[in-house]
Amino acid sequence: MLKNEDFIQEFVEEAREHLINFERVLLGDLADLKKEQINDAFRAVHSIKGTAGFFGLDKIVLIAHSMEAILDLVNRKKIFLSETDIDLLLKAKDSLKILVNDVKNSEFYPTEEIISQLQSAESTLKSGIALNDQVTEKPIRKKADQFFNVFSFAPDVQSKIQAARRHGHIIYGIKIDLSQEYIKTIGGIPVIAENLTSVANVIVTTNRDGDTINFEKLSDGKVDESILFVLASSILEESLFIQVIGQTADRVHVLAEDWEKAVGTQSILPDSDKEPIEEKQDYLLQADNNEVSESLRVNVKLLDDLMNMASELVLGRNRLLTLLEHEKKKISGLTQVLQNVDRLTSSIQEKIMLTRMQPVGMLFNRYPRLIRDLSKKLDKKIELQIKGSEVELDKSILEGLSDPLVHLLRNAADHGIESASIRKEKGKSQIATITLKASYEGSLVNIEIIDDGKGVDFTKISKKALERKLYTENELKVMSEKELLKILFDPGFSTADALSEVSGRGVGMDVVRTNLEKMGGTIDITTKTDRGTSVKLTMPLTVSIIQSLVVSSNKIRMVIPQSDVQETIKIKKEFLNEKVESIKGKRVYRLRNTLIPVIYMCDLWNREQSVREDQDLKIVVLKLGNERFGLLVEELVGNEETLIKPLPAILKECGIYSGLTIMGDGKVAPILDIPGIARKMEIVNEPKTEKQTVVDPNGGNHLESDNSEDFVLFRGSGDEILALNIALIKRIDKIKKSQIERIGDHDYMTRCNEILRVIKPSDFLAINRIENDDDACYVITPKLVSHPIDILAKEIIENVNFEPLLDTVQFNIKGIFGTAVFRNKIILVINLYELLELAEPESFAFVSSQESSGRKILLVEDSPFFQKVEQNYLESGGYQVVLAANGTEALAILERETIDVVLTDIQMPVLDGYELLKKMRRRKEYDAIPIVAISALTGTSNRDKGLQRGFDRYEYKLDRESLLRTLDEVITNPNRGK
Amino acid sequence: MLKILCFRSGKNLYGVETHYVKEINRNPEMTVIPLAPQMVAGLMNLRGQIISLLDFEVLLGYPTEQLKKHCIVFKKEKGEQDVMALLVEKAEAVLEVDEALCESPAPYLEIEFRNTIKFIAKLEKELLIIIDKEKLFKLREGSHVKIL
Repeated sequence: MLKNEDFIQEFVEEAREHLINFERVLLGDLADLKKEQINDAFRAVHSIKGTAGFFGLDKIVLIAHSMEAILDLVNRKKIFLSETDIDLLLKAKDSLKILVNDVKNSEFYPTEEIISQLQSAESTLKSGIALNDQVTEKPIRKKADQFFNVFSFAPDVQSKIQAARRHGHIIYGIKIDLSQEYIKTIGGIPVIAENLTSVANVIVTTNRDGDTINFEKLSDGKVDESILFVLASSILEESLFIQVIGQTADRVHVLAEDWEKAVGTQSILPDSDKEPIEEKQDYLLQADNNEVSESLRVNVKLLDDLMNMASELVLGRNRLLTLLEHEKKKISGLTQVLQNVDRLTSSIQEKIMLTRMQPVGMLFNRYPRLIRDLSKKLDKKIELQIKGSEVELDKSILEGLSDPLVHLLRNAADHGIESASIRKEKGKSQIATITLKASYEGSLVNIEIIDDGKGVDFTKISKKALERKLYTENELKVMSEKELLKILFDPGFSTADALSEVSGRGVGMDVVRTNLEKMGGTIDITTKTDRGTSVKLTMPLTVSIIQSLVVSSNKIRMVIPQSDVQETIKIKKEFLNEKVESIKGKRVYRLRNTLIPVIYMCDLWNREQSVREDQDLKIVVLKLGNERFGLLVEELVGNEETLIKPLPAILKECGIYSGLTIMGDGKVAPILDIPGIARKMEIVNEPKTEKQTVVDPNGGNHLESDNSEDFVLFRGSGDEILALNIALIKRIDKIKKSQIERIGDHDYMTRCNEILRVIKPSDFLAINRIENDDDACYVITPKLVSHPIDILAKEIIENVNFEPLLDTVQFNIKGIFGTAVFRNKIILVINLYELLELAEPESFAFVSSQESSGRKILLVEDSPFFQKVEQNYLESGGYQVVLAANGTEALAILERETIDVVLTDIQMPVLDGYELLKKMRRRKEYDAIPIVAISALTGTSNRDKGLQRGFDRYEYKLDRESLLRTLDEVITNPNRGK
Repeated sequence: MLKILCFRSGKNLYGVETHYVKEINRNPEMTVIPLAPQMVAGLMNLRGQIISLLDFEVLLGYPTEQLKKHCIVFKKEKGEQDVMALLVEKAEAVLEVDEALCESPAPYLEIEFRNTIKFIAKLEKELLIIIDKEKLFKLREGSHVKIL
């Protein structure tokens, strides 16, 4: 009995898989259902039926059989299933699933209803077929009867016909009129023959009496029949064939496929009983052939146990290595053995983790059904698109994603997507699309749920927040969209109106986020009114083992994940005070050209602790998004590959730990949570700084790439708000007006014994100039210019981060890229180089070399702002610019125009910079064209990576001078085509 | 008959039912975690599993300066995420206690011991305070320390 139990369990699991496949086929594109797929569905149900029969699970057998019968009809008779039929089959599949899941009690379930529904559907379909058969077959048969009766289907004729069919030919019977008038119109009998033989093979020719005639005679013109019947085969299809041979349609008939059989065996009607069995056997034969698969079924518990053992093996290995560290020299051969064990252990652990990886498609496959049901329930037309289903994730993470994804999909369908009529009014397609997309990003997996609905309703959020007393009206008024979106995650918040059953009540986004964070994932929402919403989940690929850096201070050991560490720096005690400066009580360190905040590790838990100043210290430079900060520690103990153990709930409130690990010596050490530390010590802003969703007047999808930049907003001398990229600003100093001296036409000031020129923007730009009496003002010193000139500002407003959507039509002033709207105000975005050029033409006008002028540069850039910026720079250098918004457009342009240099951004939708590079370098004709990458990110690692990948040069978007110099170089000294 | 594992703390004799207990560790090697709540004495590595050691006295609200050398490791029950252990002064013997000798605690005792007492058993020489393990560990969520 035990054995039987095992088998039943196997049956259940297989049956489940079959049912999933079955559903997938049925939900596929109906118009496109190939015979293959129907076979698949049929086999799925057939297998279930067979094995269920073996166990005596009669009810399962009955339902499966009825489903099978319908599918068989579809396959043989090529009928199409209507929506109702599909719904019925799906319903039957659901019943089967229930029975399969509760196998032991399956005999007690009431199945009469579904079976009778299936059977009546089957007979309806059958009678429909019979009707069709009767209606269409008879007339053709009658004509065909008479027509083809004239030929004698002798064995050689039949074999010729079969041979022709094997080559895909159609067999035609042609009645050729050889009356005098006809011959005259055609132009002679040979022409008739010629027309026919040019597109067909003649099988046999007969006259009215049934005598076989030699077709060659036609070519010679020696025929004295008035009518000839020709049986020929041709690859052409009917209407074309008729046209080519120049006959009328009533003289040409197609020989039906089983005619010769019918003629041969003297029976006209098809054998209805013989076929099904043969064909069914066909299906099964095919099934056998596919069974030679390369995978095994393994019990999940077994894999879990293996995982645990592998993890413990890793810990054991660490301990072994530590203990034997000193013995290595004493015992010969020990080092090699240890290295071997070390290497093998890592491999085993890695591979076992891989066994647990499954493609997300397994999870995603359940959702078409969900969306289909939701569409019906909500009376909306929704289509689900799935991309990236081959991306793999650890099984437990997949399981953990199931509920959140369902919730998010329901949200999208319920709250996001509008009804078909509203969509029509808005000019959107009536069928809404929800895209479920999985992709890799470094060591993370992104899963996005993107809908093209109405976007998040911010007024609704505010209203609900007020109702639930989460925030006051005043607080809500000043909140940015990003902050309002955060409210969605507050516990106790749910925007289900009338507690719609579809989205569930009280199962809010906070639960989704908690579940995700438990697995180490994050969630982010971006939205655009009327365009749609995108929810992005980021999950770690694999979990447990990380490379780590062990540090200690005050004999307390902490572990930092290596992926968070940028570098470590040693500071000798003599230089400590000099290198680690203090600004307003906060410590900073000058790391090459930037100041980074630093903290003592002990400060994390003991702010009052006296700092031990008599030691060499180390700074561990940590990464947090684009920010950097330093951790001052006493000792760098070493690197270790360690296992991450989850943090017990009690310790979560400390805020600075992300997990625990067991060190090589068996002791426990906490793993530091870098973002947590930054938050606690208030070192850096949230990694994702406030992004404003600027309403795009030109439409366009901004959910794909993020091109926002940091700007300083200030006022010159009037009221206009001016903006300058922070990346172009070296420093801003507050000064007194009296420090500025006027010499001749220009203003100057001194700083650190240097004389610097100062300009007022209003002197060169067409903006207001209001003299004010205020003595205090600011000077902005620019960067990335060969000859710095300070810009005078009366007021520095603030730093902001946004992507300016430039309106260049209304304000086309030199010195300004254009205007943008930000928080309902107009901002003029300054073109630094042009402004400086106006102020000091002799120092700034770029004189391009002879070779460069008139050259064409293909600028590939998706951000409209940077398109403007780069185009401006390039044109000022004397180049011609052709624009492309992504790699694909670029390739199209390359085909039709001659380009001298390609200047491309890297992050772009559709086809990014790296892909473009790859594609271009595959084509010999583009070999001589230099490809220069432009990026909004500085940093040597990015640059190195870019150059390694094959870019000729790598430039920073905002640095005009360097960019133009480089372009000049690359054109005049091309070293391409090596 | 109840099987109770007894341990001392301060002047009193306490006990928990043995079916909750996995093992006893004497002189556990503990790592102190900075910034952890006071009731968390530290963490310990038990054959690859990391165990949170909760100071019994702190949990109850009566911390003393006594050296706590023994730890009672509890089994991980269904639904629990972390393995817990209780750090006590001294773990003693397992006693078989007749249920007839057990009484419910008086109201004032309940308050003093924050509702963690299951029974008070009258032994020959002294009273045994039998603690309800589940209620005790619930205290870790938001426990205050009373300074005596």
